[in-house]
Amino acid sequence: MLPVQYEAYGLRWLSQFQMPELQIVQNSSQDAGDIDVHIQSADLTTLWEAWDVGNENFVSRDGSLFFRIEDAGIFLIEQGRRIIVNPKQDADEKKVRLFILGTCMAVIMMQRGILPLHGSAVVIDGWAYAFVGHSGAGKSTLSAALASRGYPLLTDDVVALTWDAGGRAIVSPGYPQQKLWQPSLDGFGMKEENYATVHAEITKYAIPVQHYFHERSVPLAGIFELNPKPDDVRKPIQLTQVHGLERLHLLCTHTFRSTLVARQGLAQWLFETVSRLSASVEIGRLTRSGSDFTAFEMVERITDHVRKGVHTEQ
Amino acid sequence: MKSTKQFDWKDRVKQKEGNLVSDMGGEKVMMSIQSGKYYNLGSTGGRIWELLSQERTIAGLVDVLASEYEIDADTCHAQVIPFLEHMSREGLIDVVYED
Repeated sequence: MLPVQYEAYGLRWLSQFQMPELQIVQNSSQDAGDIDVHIQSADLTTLWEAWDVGNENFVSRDGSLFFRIEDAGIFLIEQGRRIIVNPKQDADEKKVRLFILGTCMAVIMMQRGILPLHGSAVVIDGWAYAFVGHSGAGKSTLSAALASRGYPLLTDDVVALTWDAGGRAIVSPGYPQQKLWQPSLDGFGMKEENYATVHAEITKYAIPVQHYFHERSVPLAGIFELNPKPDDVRKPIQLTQVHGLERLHLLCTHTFRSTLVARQGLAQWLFETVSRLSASVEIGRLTRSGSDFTAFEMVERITDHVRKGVHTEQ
Repeated sequence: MKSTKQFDWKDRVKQKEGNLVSDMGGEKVMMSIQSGKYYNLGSTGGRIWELLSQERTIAGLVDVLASEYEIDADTCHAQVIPFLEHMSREGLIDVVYED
Protein backbone atom coordinates (compact mmCIF):
# COMPACT_ATOMS: atom_id res chain seq x y z
CA MET A 1 0.00 0.00 0.00
CA LEU A 2 1.29 3.45 -0.96
CA PRO A 3 1.73 5.97 1.82
CA VAL A 4 -0.81 8.82 1.82
CA GLN A 5 -0.18 12.52 2.47
CA TYR A 6 -2.40 14.10 5.09
CA GLU A 7 -2.71 17.58 6.58
CA ALA A 8 -3.40 18.28 10.27
CA TYR A 9 -2.24 20.76 12.92
CA GLY A 10 -0.40 22.83 10.32
CA LEU A 11 1.85 19.89 9.40
CA ARG A 12 2.04 17.52 6.46
CA TRP A 13 2.07 13.83 7.42
CA LEU A 14 3.08 10.97 5.10
CA SER A 15 1.51 7.83 6.51
CA GLN A 16 1.75 4.14 5.77
CA PHE A 17 -1.42 3.75 7.84
CA GLN A 18 -4.76 4.73 6.36
CA MET A 19 -6.14 7.53 8.53
CA PRO A 20 -9.75 8.10 7.44
CA GLU A 21 -10.17 10.85 10.07
CA LEU A 22 -7.57 13.10 8.43
CA GLN A 23 -7.71 15.43 5.43
CA ILE A 24 -5.90 14.02 2.40
CA VAL A 25 -3.62 16.55 0.71
CA GLN A 26 -5.19 17.26 -2.68
CA ASN A 27 -2.11 18.33 -4.63
CA SER A 28 0.26 15.90 -3.00
CA SER A 29 3.80 17.03 -3.50
CA GLN A 30 6.51 14.76 -4.88
CA ASP A 31 9.12 16.77 -3.02
CA ALA A 32 10.10 14.85 0.11
CA GLY A 33 11.17 18.15 1.67
CA ASP A 34 7.51 19.18 1.98
CA ILE A 35 6.77 16.31 4.33
CA ASP A 36 7.00 17.29 8.00
CA VAL A 37 6.33 13.96 9.67
CA HIS A 38 6.56 10.32 8.52
CA ILE A 39 4.24 7.72 10.05
CA GLN A 40 5.63 4.25 9.50
CA SER A 41 5.12 0.66 10.52
CA ALA A 42 8.08 -1.38 11.79
CA ASP A 43 8.98 -4.13 14.20
CA LEU A 44 10.16 -2.31 17.33
CA THR A 45 10.41 -5.21 19.76
CA THR A 46 14.20 -5.53 19.56
CA LEU A 47 14.67 -1.79 20.02
CA TRP A 48 12.24 -1.71 22.95
CA GLU A 49 14.26 -4.45 24.63
CA ALA A 50 17.49 -2.62 23.85
CA TRP A 51 16.18 0.48 25.65
CA ASP A 52 15.78 -1.79 28.69
CA VAL A 53 13.26 0.33 30.55
CA GLY A 54 12.05 -2.12 33.16
CA ASN A 55 8.42 -1.56 34.09
CA GLU A 56 8.14 1.89 32.53
CA ASN A 57 5.58 2.28 29.76
CA PHE A 58 6.71 5.76 28.67
CA VAL A 59 10.42 6.53 28.22
CA SER A 60 12.23 9.51 26.75
CA ARG A 61 15.80 9.68 25.47
CA ASP A 62 17.65 12.23 23.31
CA GLY A 63 14.61 13.98 21.89
CA SER A 64 12.62 10.80 21.28
CA LEU A 65 9.76 9.22 23.21
CA PHE A 66 9.00 5.51 23.26
CA PHE A 67 5.83 4.02 24.75
CA ARG A 68 3.99 0.76 25.06
CA ILE A 69 0.23 0.21 25.37
CA GLU A 70 -0.89 -3.22 26.50
CA ASP A 71 -3.45 -4.07 23.82
CA ALA A 72 -2.39 -1.62 21.09
CA GLY A 73 1.35 -1.90 20.52
CA ILE A 74 4.65 -0.01 20.77
CA PHE A 75 5.08 3.55 19.51
CA LEU A 76 8.29 5.55 18.92
CA ILE A 77 8.16 9.29 18.26
CA GLU A 78 11.49 10.61 17.02
CA GLN A 79 12.78 14.19 16.96
CA GLY A 80 9.49 15.71 15.85
CA ARG A 81 9.88 14.03 12.46
CA ARG A 82 8.84 10.41 12.65
CA ILE A 83 6.22 8.18 14.28
CA ILE A 84 7.05 4.48 14.13
CA VAL A 85 4.26 2.11 15.10
CA ASN A 86 4.49 -1.56 15.89
CA PRO A 87 0.85 -2.62 16.33
CA LYS A 88 0.28 -5.60 18.51
CA GLN A 89 -0.94 -8.63 16.60
CA ASP A 90 -4.75 -8.54 16.33
CA ALA A 91 -4.86 -5.03 17.79
CA ASP A 92 -7.99 -3.08 16.87
CA GLU A 93 -6.96 -0.64 14.11
CA LYS A 94 -9.25 2.03 15.54
CA LYS A 95 -7.52 1.78 18.88
CA VAL A 96 -4.07 2.02 17.28
CA ARG A 97 -5.22 5.10 15.35
CA LEU A 98 -6.50 6.71 18.55
CA PHE A 99 -2.93 6.63 19.88
CA ILE A 100 -1.45 7.91 16.62
CA LEU A 101 -3.99 10.76 16.39
CA GLY A 102 -3.78 11.60 20.09
CA THR A 103 -0.61 10.91 22.05
CA CYS A 104 1.79 10.45 19.10
CA MET A 105 0.73 13.62 17.27
CA ALA A 106 0.79 15.63 20.52
CA VAL A 107 4.33 14.42 21.25
CA ILE A 108 5.40 15.41 17.71
CA MET A 109 3.99 18.88 18.46
CA MET A 110 5.90 19.16 21.76
CA GLN A 111 9.11 18.08 20.04
CA ARG A 112 8.56 20.76 17.39
CA GLY A 113 7.70 23.53 19.86
CA ILE A 114 3.97 23.57 19.03
CA LEU A 115 1.84 23.85 22.17
CA PRO A 116 -0.95 21.22 22.25
CA LEU A 117 -3.83 22.26 24.49
CA HIS A 118 -6.57 19.80 25.39
CA GLY A 119 -9.65 21.38 23.90
CA SER A 120 -11.68 22.48 20.90
CA ALA A 121 -11.52 25.70 18.91
CA VAL A 122 -13.94 27.57 16.67
CA VAL A 123 -13.75 30.71 14.53
CA ILE A 124 -15.86 33.74 15.49
CA ASP A 125 -15.54 36.89 13.36
CA GLY A 126 -12.12 35.88 12.06
CA TRP A 127 -10.63 34.99 15.44
CA ALA A 128 -10.08 31.62 17.07
CA TYR A 129 -11.58 30.89 20.48
CA ALA A 130 -10.41 27.78 22.32
CA PHE A 131 -12.37 25.84 24.94
CA VAL A 132 -10.33 23.76 27.34
CA GLY A 133 -11.39 21.58 30.22
CA HIS A 134 -11.27 18.14 31.69
CA SER A 135 -12.74 15.12 29.95
CA GLY A 136 -16.52 15.46 29.89
CA ALA A 137 -16.47 19.21 30.58
CA GLY A 138 -18.37 19.88 27.35
CA LYS A 139 -15.66 21.16 24.98
CA SER A 140 -16.80 19.22 21.93
CA THR A 141 -20.47 19.81 22.64
CA LEU A 142 -19.98 23.56 22.93
CA SER A 143 -17.93 23.76 19.73
CA ALA A 144 -20.56 21.64 17.93
CA ALA A 145 -23.27 24.04 19.14
CA LEU A 146 -21.22 27.03 17.95
CA ALA A 147 -20.63 25.31 14.60
CA SER A 148 -24.36 24.69 14.16
CA ARG A 149 -24.85 28.45 14.62
CA GLY A 150 -22.39 29.18 11.80
CA TYR A 151 -19.06 29.45 13.65
CA PRO A 152 -16.79 26.92 11.94
CA LEU A 153 -14.81 24.31 13.83
CA LEU A 154 -11.03 24.55 13.72
CA THR A 155 -10.20 21.56 15.85
CA ASP A 156 -11.63 19.11 18.35
CA ASP A 157 -9.67 17.55 21.23
CA VAL A 158 -6.22 19.06 20.49
CA VAL A 159 -5.60 22.79 19.88
CA ALA A 160 -2.22 23.26 18.15
CA LEU A 161 -0.68 26.67 18.91
CA THR A 162 2.24 28.36 17.19
CA TRP A 163 3.36 32.00 16.85
CA ASP A 164 3.47 34.18 13.77
CA ALA A 165 6.28 36.60 12.93
CA GLY A 166 4.54 39.34 14.93
CA GLY A 167 4.33 37.16 18.04
CA ARG A 168 0.58 36.46 17.78
CA ALA A 169 -0.66 33.04 18.85
CA ILE A 170 -2.07 31.08 15.89
CA VAL A 171 -4.36 28.03 15.92
CA SER A 172 -3.83 25.53 13.09
CA PRO A 173 -6.74 23.41 11.86
CA GLY A 174 -6.93 19.88 13.25
CA TYR A 175 -9.09 17.48 11.24
CA PRO A 176 -12.80 17.38 10.41
CA GLN A 177 -14.13 15.00 13.01
CA GLN A 178 -15.81 15.53 16.35
CA LYS A 179 -16.31 13.12 19.20
CA LEU A 180 -19.61 13.54 21.01
CA TRP A 181 -21.18 11.71 23.92
CA GLN A 182 -24.71 10.30 23.80
CA PRO A 183 -26.35 13.13 25.80
CA SER A 184 -24.95 15.66 23.32
CA LEU A 185 -26.32 13.73 20.35
CA ASP A 186 -29.68 13.76 22.13
CA GLY A 187 -29.36 17.50 22.77
CA PHE A 188 -28.70 18.14 19.08
CA GLY A 189 -31.42 15.70 17.97
CA MET A 190 -28.85 13.47 16.23
CA LYS A 191 -29.37 9.72 15.77
CA GLU A 192 -26.59 7.54 17.14
CA GLU A 193 -27.20 4.75 14.62
CA ASN A 194 -25.81 7.10 11.96
CA TYR A 195 -22.37 7.27 13.58
CA ALA A 196 -19.51 4.95 14.44
CA THR A 197 -18.47 4.66 18.06
CA VAL A 198 -15.00 5.67 19.09
CA HIS A 199 -13.16 2.58 20.27
CA ALA A 200 -13.56 1.66 23.94
CA GLU A 201 -15.84 4.61 24.51
CA ILE A 202 -19.08 2.97 23.66
CA THR A 203 -21.32 5.99 24.20
CA LYS A 204 -19.02 8.39 22.39
CA TYR A 205 -19.55 8.85 18.66
CA ALA A 206 -17.29 10.02 15.85
CA ILE A 207 -19.09 12.65 13.77
CA PRO A 208 -17.66 13.72 10.39
CA VAL A 209 -17.93 17.51 10.21
CA GLN A 210 -16.46 18.38 6.83
CA HIS A 211 -19.31 20.81 6.14
CA TYR A 212 -18.40 23.07 9.05
CA PHE A 213 -14.65 22.60 9.20
CA HIS A 214 -12.36 25.63 8.85
CA GLU A 215 -9.25 24.72 6.84
CA ARG A 216 -6.97 27.69 7.47
CA SER A 217 -4.97 28.91 10.46
CA VAL A 218 -6.52 31.72 12.52
CA PRO A 219 -5.07 34.02 15.22
CA LEU A 220 -6.19 33.19 18.74
CA ALA A 221 -8.23 35.75 20.68
CA GLY A 222 -9.23 33.85 23.80
CA ILE A 223 -9.13 30.67 25.81
CA PHE A 224 -12.03 29.66 28.04
CA GLU A 225 -11.93 26.90 30.60
CA LEU A 226 -15.21 25.01 30.88
CA ASN A 227 -16.09 24.47 34.48
CA PRO A 228 -19.25 22.37 34.86
CA LYS A 229 -20.92 22.10 38.28
CA PRO A 230 -23.66 19.54 37.64
CA ASP A 231 -24.48 19.14 41.34
CA ASP A 232 -25.17 22.83 41.91
CA VAL A 233 -28.59 24.38 41.55
CA ARG A 234 -29.12 25.58 38.00
CA LYS A 235 -28.04 29.20 37.50
CA PRO A 236 -27.29 31.32 34.41
CA ILE A 237 -23.95 30.69 32.68
CA GLN A 238 -21.15 32.66 34.37
CA LEU A 239 -18.18 34.06 32.47
CA THR A 240 -15.29 35.27 34.66
CA GLN A 241 -11.82 36.48 33.75
CA VAL A 242 -8.75 34.59 34.93
CA HIS A 243 -5.71 36.67 35.88
CA GLY A 244 -2.06 36.41 36.79
CA LEU A 245 -0.55 33.18 37.98
CA GLU A 246 -3.87 31.38 37.78
CA ARG A 247 -3.56 31.69 34.01
CA LEU A 248 -0.28 29.80 34.06
CA HIS A 249 -1.80 27.08 36.17
CA LEU A 250 -4.86 26.84 33.90
CA LEU A 251 -2.74 26.53 30.75
CA CYS A 252 -0.33 23.99 32.26
CA THR A 253 -3.27 21.94 33.54
CA HIS A 254 -4.92 21.81 30.13
CA THR A 255 -1.82 21.02 28.10
CA PHE A 256 -2.53 17.77 26.26
CA ARG A 257 -0.58 14.85 27.84
CA SER A 258 1.27 17.33 30.07
CA THR A 259 3.10 14.57 31.95
CA LEU A 260 4.90 13.74 28.70
CA VAL A 261 6.21 17.32 28.55
CA ALA A 262 8.17 16.93 31.78
CA ARG A 263 9.24 13.42 30.84
CA GLN A 264 10.91 14.77 27.71
CA GLY A 265 12.72 17.49 29.64
CA LEU A 266 10.50 20.18 28.13
CA ALA A 267 9.07 21.64 31.38
CA GLN A 268 10.98 24.92 31.00
CA TRP A 269 9.80 25.21 27.38
CA LEU A 270 6.17 24.68 28.48
CA PHE A 271 6.49 27.25 31.26
CA GLU A 272 7.93 29.87 28.91
CA THR A 273 5.29 29.07 26.32
CA VAL A 274 2.33 29.41 28.67
CA SER A 275 3.82 32.62 30.17
CA ARG A 276 4.02 34.12 26.72
CA LEU A 277 0.49 33.00 25.88
CA SER A 278 -0.84 34.32 29.20
CA ALA A 279 0.40 37.79 28.35
CA SER A 280 -1.17 37.91 24.90
CA VAL A 281 -4.73 36.50 24.91
CA GLU A 282 -7.90 36.72 26.97
CA ILE A 283 -8.30 33.86 29.42
CA GLY A 284 -11.63 33.19 31.11
CA ARG A 285 -13.73 30.57 32.77
CA LEU A 286 -17.26 29.52 31.83
CA THR A 287 -19.23 28.03 34.67
CA ARG A 288 -22.48 26.17 34.14
CA SER A 289 -24.52 24.51 36.84
CA GLY A 290 -27.23 21.88 36.87
CA SER A 291 -27.53 18.91 34.54
CA ASP A 292 -29.58 20.42 31.67
CA PHE A 293 -28.27 20.62 28.13
CA THR A 294 -27.08 24.24 28.14
CA ALA A 295 -24.84 24.33 25.05
CA PHE A 296 -27.00 26.88 23.22
CA GLU A 297 -27.22 29.15 26.25
CA MET A 298 -23.40 29.07 26.37
CA VAL A 299 -23.26 29.95 22.68
CA GLU A 300 -25.32 33.08 23.41
CA ARG A 301 -23.12 34.01 26.35
CA ILE A 302 -19.92 33.62 24.35
CA THR A 303 -21.04 35.39 21.21
CA ASP A 304 -22.46 38.27 23.29
CA HIS A 305 -19.14 38.57 25.06
CA VAL A 306 -17.09 38.44 21.86
CA ARG A 307 -19.29 41.06 20.19
CA LYS A 308 -18.92 43.37 23.19
CA GLY A 309 -15.17 43.11 22.81
CA VAL A 310 -15.45 44.16 19.19
CA HIS A 311 -17.45 47.26 20.12
CA THR A 312 -14.98 48.03 22.93
CA GLU A 313 -17.66 48.39 25.57
CA GLN A 314 -17.06 47.09 29.05
CA MET B 1 11.40 46.62 63.58
CA LYS B 2 14.93 45.32 63.49
CA SER B 3 14.44 42.96 66.40
CA THR B 4 13.63 39.95 64.18
CA LYS B 5 16.44 40.61 61.75
CA GLN B 6 17.69 37.29 60.41
CA PHE B 7 20.11 38.29 57.73
CA ASP B 8 23.40 39.97 58.24
CA TRP B 9 24.96 42.20 55.58
CA LYS B 10 27.70 39.61 55.20
CA ASP B 11 25.37 36.62 54.66
CA ARG B 12 25.48 35.20 51.18
CA VAL B 13 22.45 34.36 49.03
CA LYS B 14 21.98 32.52 45.77
CA GLN B 15 19.20 31.11 43.58
CA LYS B 16 18.19 27.58 44.34
CA GLU B 17 18.02 25.16 41.41
CA GLY B 18 14.88 23.35 40.41
CA ASN B 19 12.53 26.15 39.44
CA LEU B 20 11.02 27.05 36.12
CA VAL B 21 11.45 30.73 35.39
CA SER B 22 9.87 32.85 32.70
CA ASP B 23 8.63 36.29 31.79
CA MET B 24 4.92 37.15 31.72
CA GLY B 25 4.27 40.61 30.33
CA GLY B 26 7.41 42.09 31.92
CA GLU B 27 7.09 40.31 35.26
CA LYS B 28 9.24 37.41 36.36
CA VAL B 29 7.14 34.33 37.06
CA MET B 30 8.32 31.08 38.56
CA MET B 31 7.11 27.61 39.28
CA SER B 32 8.68 25.29 41.80
CA ILE B 33 8.99 21.83 40.25
CA GLN B 34 9.07 20.32 43.71
CA SER B 35 5.92 21.89 45.16
CA GLY B 36 4.07 22.83 41.97
CA LYS B 37 3.58 26.33 43.45
CA TYR B 38 3.59 29.40 41.21
CA TYR B 39 5.21 32.75 42.07
CA ASN B 40 5.16 36.20 40.56
CA LEU B 41 8.28 38.12 41.55
CA GLY B 42 7.24 41.24 39.66
CA SER B 43 9.79 43.28 37.74
CA THR B 44 12.03 44.38 40.66
CA GLY B 45 11.85 40.92 42.21
CA GLY B 46 12.78 39.56 38.83
CA ARG B 47 15.88 41.75 38.75
CA ILE B 48 16.84 40.51 42.23
CA TRP B 49 16.38 36.94 41.04
CA GLU B 50 18.67 37.59 38.06
CA LEU B 51 21.33 39.07 40.33
CA LEU B 52 21.16 35.97 42.49
CA SER B 53 22.16 33.70 39.62
CA GLN B 54 25.58 34.09 41.21
CA GLU B 55 26.19 33.97 44.93
CA ARG B 56 26.37 37.45 46.50
CA THR B 57 26.56 38.93 49.94
CA ILE B 58 23.50 40.90 50.95
CA ALA B 59 25.72 43.98 51.06
CA GLY B 60 26.81 43.32 47.48
CA LEU B 61 23.23 42.81 46.32
CA VAL B 62 22.05 45.99 48.04
CA ASP B 63 24.92 47.91 46.42
CA VAL B 64 23.86 46.94 42.93
CA LEU B 65 20.14 47.52 43.56
CA ALA B 66 20.67 50.87 45.30
CA SER B 67 22.59 52.17 42.32
CA GLU B 68 20.23 50.71 39.70
CA TYR B 69 17.09 52.00 41.41
CA GLU B 70 18.69 55.24 42.68
CA ILE B 71 17.78 54.84 46.34
CA ASP B 72 19.96 54.91 49.44
CA ALA B 73 21.41 51.67 50.73
CA ASP B 74 19.47 51.63 54.03
CA THR B 75 16.09 52.05 52.35
CA CYS B 76 17.02 49.42 49.81
CA HIS B 77 18.18 47.04 52.52
CA ALA B 78 14.95 47.50 54.47
CA GLN B 79 12.93 46.57 51.38
CA VAL B 80 15.10 43.73 50.16
CA ILE B 81 15.34 41.80 53.43
CA PRO B 82 11.63 40.89 53.75
CA PHE B 83 11.66 39.81 50.11
CA LEU B 84 14.69 37.58 50.68
CA GLU B 85 13.14 36.17 53.85
CA HIS B 86 10.05 35.29 51.89
CA MET B 87 12.07 33.66 49.11
CA SER B 88 14.04 31.73 51.68
CA ARG B 89 10.88 30.50 53.44
CA GLU B 90 9.53 29.32 50.10
CA GLY B 91 12.77 27.48 49.41
CA LEU B 92 13.61 29.54 46.33
CA ILE B 93 17.03 30.74 47.49
CA ASP B 94 19.92 29.31 49.48
CA VAL B 95 21.34 31.38 52.31
CA VAL B 96 24.83 30.91 53.69
CA TYR B 97 25.00 32.55 57.12
CA GLU B 98 28.24 34.21 58.02
CA ASP B 99 29.08 33.08 61.55
